[in-house]
Amino acid sequence: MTIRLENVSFRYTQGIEGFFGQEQILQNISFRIDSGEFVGIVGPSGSGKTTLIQHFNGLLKPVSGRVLIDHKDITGQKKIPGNIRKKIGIVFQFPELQFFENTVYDEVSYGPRNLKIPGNEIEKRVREAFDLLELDFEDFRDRAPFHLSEGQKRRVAIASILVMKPEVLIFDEPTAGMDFRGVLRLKSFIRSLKNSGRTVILVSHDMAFIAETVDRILCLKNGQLIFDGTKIDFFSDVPILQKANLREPEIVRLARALRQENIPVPFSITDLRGMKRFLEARLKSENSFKIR
Amino acid sequence: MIDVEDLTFSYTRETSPILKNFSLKLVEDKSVSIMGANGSGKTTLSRCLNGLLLPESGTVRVDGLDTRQKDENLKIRALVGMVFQNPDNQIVSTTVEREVAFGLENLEVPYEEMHRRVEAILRQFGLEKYRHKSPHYLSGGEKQLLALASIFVMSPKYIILDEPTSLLDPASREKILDAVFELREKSGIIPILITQFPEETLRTDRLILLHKGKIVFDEKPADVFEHEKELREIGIGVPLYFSLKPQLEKLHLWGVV
Repeated sequence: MTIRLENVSFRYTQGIEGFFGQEQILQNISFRIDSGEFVGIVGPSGSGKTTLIQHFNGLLKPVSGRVLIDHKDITGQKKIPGNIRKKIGIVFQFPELQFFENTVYDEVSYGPRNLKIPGNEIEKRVREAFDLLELDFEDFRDRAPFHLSEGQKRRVAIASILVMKPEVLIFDEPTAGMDFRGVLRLKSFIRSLKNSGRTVILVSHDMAFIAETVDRILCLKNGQLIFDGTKIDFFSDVPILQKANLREPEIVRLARALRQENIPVPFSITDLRGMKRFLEARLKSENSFKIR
Repeated sequence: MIDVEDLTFSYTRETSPILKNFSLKLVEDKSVSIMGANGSGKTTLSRCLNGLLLPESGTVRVDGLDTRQKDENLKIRALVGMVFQNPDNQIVSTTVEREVAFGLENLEVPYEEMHRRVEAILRQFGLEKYRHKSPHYLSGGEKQLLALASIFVMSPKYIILDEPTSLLDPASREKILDAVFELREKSGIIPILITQFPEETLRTDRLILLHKGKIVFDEKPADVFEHEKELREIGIGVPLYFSLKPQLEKLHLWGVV
């Protein structure tokens, strides 16, 4: 499934302009995301990231420009075809805002029930989603979504999107408020989604998380796209990082400091595991040098 | 000083207590950070510190005032400011400016002074361009900034920050923490920082680590992070540099890079 934006501009409707000023939330944005890509969307708070992703499945419509899903223009359509919402799932920042059912089972199965999928098929999908997210089915099915911990809520919200079997999954700040173990679990879960051939899009300020996951980065500032390229190029572009209120991930900063000490760390190293392996190898070669 | 003595707290009778026989003293000359996995009792503890939650048994005293004493409530809230995780839980006003002024209005601060303080805070947090806008139209991160600004403006003695930066970009996050620690220098405010970012705790004098409602570490942050293995077992990460410490030390680079 490809998502293509052509010169998309957006502001909240004319009627409330008086309240919100004249500024555009998105200005003239164009790019294309192909099937199976792993993309990070970054930028300062208020730069338009959440507004942008709501264009991908027609939740918001551009004031000018076009949005094409699989080469079909959805911009002018009064009613967004149901399969687009089904195939492009968004997990929002505050999961409790999307809950309304009394039990976790009803919450997660709400989407498929609405599509009139048979009950046994629904249960199968719910179980699969629970398994993937390490939620125990018997333990959680009858619990109240609002009484779960923040991390559990987040997982239930993800499950309720997964049961729709989307081809594209978009996560808005998925690590916010999540503890270390939760982030590790999420990281491996998101990688497994990516390996199953789905398109994954992450909106995040967590640069360490971005550095260890995506391949490509789109960076927004004041509603404009100021960078579209590989993760490695992005993290070595200090002026762009500064412009976007971002910091190099710690690991990139460390790599740069090491290079200044004449230790040639490759630019491709952006995660802890890679750095550890590199330093270990370096230690080994230094030791063998001493023995000689 | 905030003095927690033998505190036990549970949300319902059926469930086991979140905090049990818990004691802790927070003193004026030390800034504090609190870490722990989701569900370890951080938020519950912080809500006991300003009397939002009351002890089932045991006592919590803020500068000698018992949180269970109803008539001390206002005094305690004025002493201990609190910024919540989810800004929507605390934003009540129709414009950004009014939101910042709300607490001062309640404290009946004279108009001129209120005006001056609101102006200064709006500028400090970069919110002046939104002053007449409804908070609903701010992004998640901007709402977090607003929530912080409206507590800062009341200049409390203690400030509890419950993961206040989880939705902010890294530069804004640093700006918030800079503002907190600048206030510490200037007016001696006592930050109590609850966070999931181990790097942020390095700014404080003391790190308290909670696991299942108990304190498992209470030392200088850098000393706590020496125990990477034990920390991982209870679901806590260490700042990146600390995970690479053995390798960096052997290469004689610890403290160099």
